[in-house]
Amino acid sequence: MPEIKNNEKIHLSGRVRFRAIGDEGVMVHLENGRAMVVNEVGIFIVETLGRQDMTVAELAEKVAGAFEVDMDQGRADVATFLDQLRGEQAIEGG
Amino acid sequence: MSRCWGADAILIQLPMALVLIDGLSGEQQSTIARNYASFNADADDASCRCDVICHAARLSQPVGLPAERLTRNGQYAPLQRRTGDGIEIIGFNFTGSFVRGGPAPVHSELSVVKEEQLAWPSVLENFLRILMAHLVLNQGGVLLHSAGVLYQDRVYLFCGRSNAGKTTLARKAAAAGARVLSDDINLVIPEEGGYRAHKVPFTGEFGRRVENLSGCGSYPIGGLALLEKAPKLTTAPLRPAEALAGLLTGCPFVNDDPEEIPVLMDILTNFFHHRPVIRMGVGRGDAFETVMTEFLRSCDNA
Repeated sequence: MPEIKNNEKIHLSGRVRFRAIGDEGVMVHLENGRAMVVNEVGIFIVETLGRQDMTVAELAEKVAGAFEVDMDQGRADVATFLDQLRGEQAIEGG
Repeated sequence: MSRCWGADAILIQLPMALVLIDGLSGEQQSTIARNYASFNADADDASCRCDVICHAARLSQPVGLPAERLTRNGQYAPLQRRTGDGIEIIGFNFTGSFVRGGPAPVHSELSVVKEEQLAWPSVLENFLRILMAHLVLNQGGVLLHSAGVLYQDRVYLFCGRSNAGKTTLARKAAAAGARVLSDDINLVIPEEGGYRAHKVPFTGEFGRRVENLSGCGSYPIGGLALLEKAPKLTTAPLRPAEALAGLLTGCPFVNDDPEEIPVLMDILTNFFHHRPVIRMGVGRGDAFETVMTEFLRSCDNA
């Protein structure tokens, strides 16, 4: 999947299911039945993208607000996790 | 168009489901009876209640799908597709279907091109595995890729994908005098406030070579380990999310079905809230007794 631009809306793939459990979450990709553990920031991002499409900037703002970190940290957390989701083909842009 | 092979039928008593296969030729019937000898049910039972009725039928032409369409994660995996009222299955040499969600008995069909193909483990066994994996969810149970070993009157499950070491461990267990339910797949069902493991006629490599437990035996589950190969024996507790992810990966045929996933997650979550689930690395040289001693110790601490 190509790099997502900051102003491009992204959404969770329809082939992904997830559940929060404790402070973490589990995400399952229906293409291969692979299940992965995601941390609390990760499950927040997945849940947020599951509800509505967002740009990276909007997502970073949400993360910064929810976890009381500055925007730089929010952007870094989002970028790291979106890389992971992109690798799993769990998000789609546009 | 498909049509039946003959007028013979057979009853197979799977754990939690009495399966009637009809439309068989005499040869198919006798081969299945031989292959599933410990699971044959009395014909009188047919008049009582069948949970599943499977019609054996002819396919007019080979399936003809390329191997890559029937492969997932490097393993053979029949295709499953949701239809209006059920699930269609396409394998190398068969097609199958069953109704999902309706009242019992569940109606299903299994079709092959050649008469002898129907009783092949790669056909009938795969079909029954998929059927059971879905149906057992209704009862709060799961079909789990695992080796099941009876130790001190309880079954301990070693869950893992192919090459995780399940068959090696099952062989060590048998060599040490322990009983093995299966080295490949076991049925886990909630019963009497706990969980029991049921032997199923899906035997894996170990069961095809060694006569182990016969019939539909079931035993209380002592604990479950997510098994992996390791240089030496290790155990580690699992966080709930790790346990859920590991168990999900071990639930074939239903862990990629969007309609089954929510129920499957509920069932697995309930399981690890009731029984200890740990991670366990086992080395080639680790003796069975040593493995079990460490397993039990870890379960006590979990």
